Amino acid sequence: MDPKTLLQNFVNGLSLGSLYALIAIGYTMVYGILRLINFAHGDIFMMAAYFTFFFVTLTQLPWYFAAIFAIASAAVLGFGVDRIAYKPIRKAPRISALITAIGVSFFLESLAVVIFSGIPRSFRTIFPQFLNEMIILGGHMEVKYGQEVILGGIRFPIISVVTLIVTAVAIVFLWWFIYKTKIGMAMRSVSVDIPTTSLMGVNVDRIIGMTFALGSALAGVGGILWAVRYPQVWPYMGFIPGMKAFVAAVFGGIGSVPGAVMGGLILGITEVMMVGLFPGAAGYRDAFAFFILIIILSVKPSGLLGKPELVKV
Amino acid sequence: MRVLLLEGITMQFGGLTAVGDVSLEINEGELFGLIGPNGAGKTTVFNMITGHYKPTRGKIYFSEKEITGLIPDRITRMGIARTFQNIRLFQDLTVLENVMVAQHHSISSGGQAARWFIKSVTRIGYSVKEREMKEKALNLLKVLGIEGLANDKSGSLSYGAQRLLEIARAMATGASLLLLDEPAAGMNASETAQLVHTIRKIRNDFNLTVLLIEHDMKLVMGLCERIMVLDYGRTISEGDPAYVQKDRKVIEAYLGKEWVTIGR
Amino acid sequence: MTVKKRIVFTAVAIICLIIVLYLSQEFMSSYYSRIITLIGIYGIMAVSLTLVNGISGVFSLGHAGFIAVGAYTSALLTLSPQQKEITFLIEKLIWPFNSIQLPFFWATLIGGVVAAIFALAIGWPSLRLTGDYFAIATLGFAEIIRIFALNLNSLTNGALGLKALPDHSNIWASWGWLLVTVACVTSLSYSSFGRALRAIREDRVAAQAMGINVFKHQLMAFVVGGFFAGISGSLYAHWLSTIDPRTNTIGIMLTFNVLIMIVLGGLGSITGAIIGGALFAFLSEWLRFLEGPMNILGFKIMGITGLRMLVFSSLFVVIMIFWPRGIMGRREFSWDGLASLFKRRDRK
Ligand SMILES: Nc1ncnc2c1ncn2[C@@H]1O[C@H](COP(=O)(O)OP(=O)(O)O)[C@@H](O)[C@H]1O
Ligand SMILES: [Mg+2]
Repeated sequence: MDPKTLLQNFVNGLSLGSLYALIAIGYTMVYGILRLINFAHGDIFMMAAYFTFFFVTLTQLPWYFAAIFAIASAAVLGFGVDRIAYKPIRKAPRISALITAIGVSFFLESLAVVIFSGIPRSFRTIFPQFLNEMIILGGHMEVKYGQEVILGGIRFPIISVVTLIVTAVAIVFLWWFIYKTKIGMAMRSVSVDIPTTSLMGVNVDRIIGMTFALGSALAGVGGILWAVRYPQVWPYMGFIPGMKAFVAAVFGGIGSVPGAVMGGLILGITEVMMVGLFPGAAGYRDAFAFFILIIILSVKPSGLLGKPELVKV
Repeated sequence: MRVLLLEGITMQFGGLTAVGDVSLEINEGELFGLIGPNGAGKTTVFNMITGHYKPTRGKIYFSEKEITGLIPDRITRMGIARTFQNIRLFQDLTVLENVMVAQHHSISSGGQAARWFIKSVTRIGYSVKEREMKEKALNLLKVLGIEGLANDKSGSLSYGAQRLLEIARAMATGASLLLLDEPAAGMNASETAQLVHTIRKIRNDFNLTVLLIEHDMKLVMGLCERIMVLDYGRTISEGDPAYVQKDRKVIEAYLGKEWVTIGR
Repeated sequence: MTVKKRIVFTAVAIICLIIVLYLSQEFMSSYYSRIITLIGIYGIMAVSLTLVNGISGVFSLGHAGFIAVGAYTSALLTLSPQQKEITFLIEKLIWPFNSIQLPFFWATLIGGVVAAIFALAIGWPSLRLTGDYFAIATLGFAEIIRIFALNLNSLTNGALGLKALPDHSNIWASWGWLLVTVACVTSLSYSSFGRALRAIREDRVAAQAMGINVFKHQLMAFVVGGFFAGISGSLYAHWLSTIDPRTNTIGIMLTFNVLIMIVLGGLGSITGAIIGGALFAFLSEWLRFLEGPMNILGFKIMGITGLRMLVFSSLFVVIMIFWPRGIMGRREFSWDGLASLFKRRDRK
């Protein structure tokens, strides 16, 4: 790989990774509190993209209204899923919660099929065209979406840069929220010890609901950016990114927010680099993340920044 | 003959030294008591012997063979079985099944597993073994006086009966060394008295060596031949009941805490 | 009830079943006999997953992977060399599959064995994990299998899949294998091995302390489950007459469907798994009307695709929340149970 391609791949990998990170944060926060793999998380990501699409199509309002609406709806949806499906079984064995989460995931997917139909819809007209144009450093040709570039120079789509910036802003916001607000403090406290926190007069269920909402809002941001990047939406678009983000969360150490960000970035970069190095293996790129997952789980299940859990006898 | 030997075993959890440099020798047929205030590290000693925790330092020998760091099921098959302080029965299984499970390793370990697996699936030549295991299990339940509950779900038993079932289950593994973690906890006075009798009886009838942790001082003093006292993970006294009872260090360790319970 | 009586009852029941199956084969329309065949296939899928997820207390999400392995293996063995020549357009099929053809029974059996080998290879690393980590790892492996099926053109014919499989899956094949599956899984689960598995499910640490090698036992259950999943895969492929790597053919969707069956029937009950499989086959056929044109109060509406899946997934979540024990809980059918049921009725 020549340095130019390397840099190109790096930027693309970084932006893909930051999308994984945005979703992974939601997984890691919920797992940190409930020890539950929220299977439905990837589907909230999908729903946010659909909300944006239909908001724009139906109201003809500008895209930023749609984005705000979709992110808020994703948060409400996440909150609702917790209330309706997970809250009644908080005391049930952990595995029942996992099974329920799988059910919720399929529920949301089939709901999307029923409401929005199973046919993929193009997202290209929803957002300003320039996002899918290429930035060329060192050259001076503008290239429209989908066209081939023959000229030299490092190129990557504008959306990659936008994704990076939006992710950075979202993470700074998250950091502020978790460390500087009362609710954030309660969230951290709940993740350490639920009974004690509730003894201190905190409404634990509300805090858990807020965690779902916050994580879902971030997944919503990710969903919109994803839909712009691969400009289409369809009901099953959440499955693979969701699984990969989960891998990223485990890689970084599940329960740890910085770990999720780190895991997401590393996964995105390695994935893009791998495809760059072995173009013949491109068909296997989705399998690659699962290989990583299995290797991490067998070698160091606590991940990069997680703490190992000791089984008390 | 020496059955169990602990050589300076230590267990650290992060910064906390739960057990520090404990050494111990137990001879065949002995009834040995391990006592100490709550959180002294007694259960942790058990967990290290049975392989549930790997000692940070030190060595453990069973019948002169080193067993440090072996996996729990391996250690059980070598002949050490235990009960749990916070009862861990197979709740959804019947009392009888609980005891039969403990015999399962006799057909599933080593090279014979495949043979017995095929016998179980095809049901050829299997029922004899099943009957044999059932008889042995019923016999053990009789020894502990809970044979009447054989077909009840173990989760539905009273606290005392559950503790007895834990002992029956541990014995069913065929172990020669029993580790009993607070077997009388939650029992009333008459149940405790009966338990003392039973423990002595099984030690004699089944040629067992027994190492037991207990909070009830009366029980330990009356039952055990030798006692070791732990406090903050360290050995503070060791000897026969009469000696330990008078040891100043022991009294200090318990003062204001559980020593009061002796007079109960 | 004596053992002899129970054996007689069971034998009579099996003979009755055979007669009923024979009659339905002979006199029912091919549509219905196809559904009855499917019930048998779903039964095998559900019973094999029950052994793993219900009895051994590990939670696998990789069932579809083993079904896929069995399906592809046996399909490659039953297709005639000429048919394979026609099917494999992207790349030529590799030796030896391009030149052999085996009878359905052997192809199915080999499908099961290959799936069992996959289960061994996948269970080995995954079973070092516990709880939901194991679930995710098996899901990952199943997805890897699917992705390989999608990409290994010279073995699986890639995205196009295998077509025009001979229609070997009839009532006899599916119910015959179901009987074998139920007999094996039942006798295993009610032997000392099954007791050990249930003990591990109840308390892993205590089971270990009783001398049980937890890893070895769970691996055994996983491999047996994988074997029968492979068998069901072979039957399923020849029932569909095609096999391809789409998510709803052999992907997570299929695993999810089998999960619905065993949760509906009662997680941990073999009887429940069969009931769940039958109900699922029945419901998914019956609910087909939801996706066709409907006539509600005089209004004609077009069919809505995906509505069946929506019904199933809502049903699933509702069961998990309000009725987690399902139809059978962990209970099993027994003649004694049946007898006491009737006695109770009489007294009333
Ligand atoms: N798995 C573990 N992780 C952290 N600390 C532990 C663990 N197991 C035991 N401890 C600590 O070790 C100390 C000794 O515990 P234990 O052996 O259970 O005491 P005892 O049985 O004498 O009451 C306690 O402070 C306990 O909190
Ligand atoms: Mg203790």
